[in-house]
Amino acid sequence: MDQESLSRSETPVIEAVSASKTYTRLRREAGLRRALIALIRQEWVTVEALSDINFRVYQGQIIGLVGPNGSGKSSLIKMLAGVIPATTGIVRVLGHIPSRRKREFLRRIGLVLGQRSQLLQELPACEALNLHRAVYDIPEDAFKASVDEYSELLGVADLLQIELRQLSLGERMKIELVAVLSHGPEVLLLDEPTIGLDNTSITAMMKMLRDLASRDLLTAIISSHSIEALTEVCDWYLNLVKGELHKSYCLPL
Amino acid sequence: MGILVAAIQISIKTPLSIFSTVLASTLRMVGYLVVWVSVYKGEDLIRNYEFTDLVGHYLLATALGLGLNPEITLRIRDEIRHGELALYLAWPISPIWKWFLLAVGSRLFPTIGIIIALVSVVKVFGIQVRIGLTPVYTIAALLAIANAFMFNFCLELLIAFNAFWQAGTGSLYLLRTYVVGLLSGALVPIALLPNFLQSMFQLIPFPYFMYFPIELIRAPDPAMVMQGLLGQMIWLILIIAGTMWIWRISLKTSYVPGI
Repeated sequence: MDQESLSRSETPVIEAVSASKTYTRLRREAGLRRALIALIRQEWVTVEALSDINFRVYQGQIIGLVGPNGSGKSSLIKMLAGVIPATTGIVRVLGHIPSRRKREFLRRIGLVLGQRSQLLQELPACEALNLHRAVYDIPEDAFKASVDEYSELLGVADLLQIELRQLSLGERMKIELVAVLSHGPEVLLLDEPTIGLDNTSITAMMKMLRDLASRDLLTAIISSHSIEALTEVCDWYLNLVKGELHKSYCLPL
Repeated sequence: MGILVAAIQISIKTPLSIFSTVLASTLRMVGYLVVWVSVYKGEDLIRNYEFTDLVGHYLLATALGLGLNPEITLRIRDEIRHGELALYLAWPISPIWKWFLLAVGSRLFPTIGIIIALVSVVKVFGIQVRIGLTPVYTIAALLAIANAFMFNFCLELLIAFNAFWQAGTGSLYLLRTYVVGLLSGALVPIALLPNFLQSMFQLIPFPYFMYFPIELIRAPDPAMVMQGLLGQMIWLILIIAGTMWIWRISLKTSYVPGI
């Protein structure tokens, strides 16, 4: 079953047409002599992180992004968020070219990168979330209601007065998710959001995302190595291998 | 505003850092003055510069040196290196605004601290300090100080953006500290330098963003105000344009999946 058949009549919320991403990285062999030579002559190698990627995602769908390490999952998520531009091809999210990073586009998406935090670690969670409210200019009442709801669902309501740097990785990840949901994004891009979470928390997170997709028509792409977790929530999957989209699957994987 | 409040909160939570910054700045000022006491021994004037002028210069250089130093380079460098920048690029405001507001907020308490410390020193030791501010010159001084903060902020951004390409930015930051200290007229008042050096200092940006605000507060005159503000504006436009250009290039060419 092709994902297009799920909803051909709608305009896709996320669309990639022949999208590819190449970048260069420095290559240096081990040894002092090589290190000295590298001062004068640097060897750059071109890497094709993503190659000819084509897919469409429709409103309310939750897509799993799977593949081995270095397969381009994070690059694809960053490309969809506008953090890195596509080298060739077209990427559209909510009708925008993400890499132009228009404010009206960025207000409508949310990005979570596992093991990285957008909240200031020196502050208590509630203050860090307040900063997020200021950045997104969220009305106070709506913000409070969102934070109350999501922190309760994820079981972190009691941790909001604690400094973020004193929380565990999993607790911080949940608060990241509370933050990113607080401005009501229409598209959520989650790169390894299950890092540090126990099985109960993963289940709670996935259930919450599923409910949001049904209730608010949230569209999400989740990359994870935890296939069981994705199975609970995803409508279909993108399987990336060495930057190429091998196959898209519908349930069950 | 929320970012500014957050920065102030972070600053409040590091009282030891504020105290040690204020103490270090005050000690450095005292050290310079001790050296200059021996230079001025038996002299009333050196190149038409009285010792009391020198005291005023160092008091202002110490306060402005601390208040106008955003000290945001290392935070930005870490955010680029560790990949948090990717998250901030998905915000509806530019990360540069975030860094700017954090820089402003984090300077508030150390600046208040150093002003209290210096005023106390002046009162306790009965030091005569000439301040030539009128309401009009006060407005000009505030503008000059704001410009200077902006210039230093851009300079720090340029150093931090080096993290897109290389691992080490600490040495560049150190170099910047010494270069600015020496060439801004903070360490040695430009009026005390030989004439040919004074002419050369007019061709570089740094004195416009340290020596000029000091002189504007200490002994302003209309010609100096106009020339200084014009010089600031020209250099500020150039550095802002350069910073934005490097920022765009950095994001386009140097953003790799690892960061």
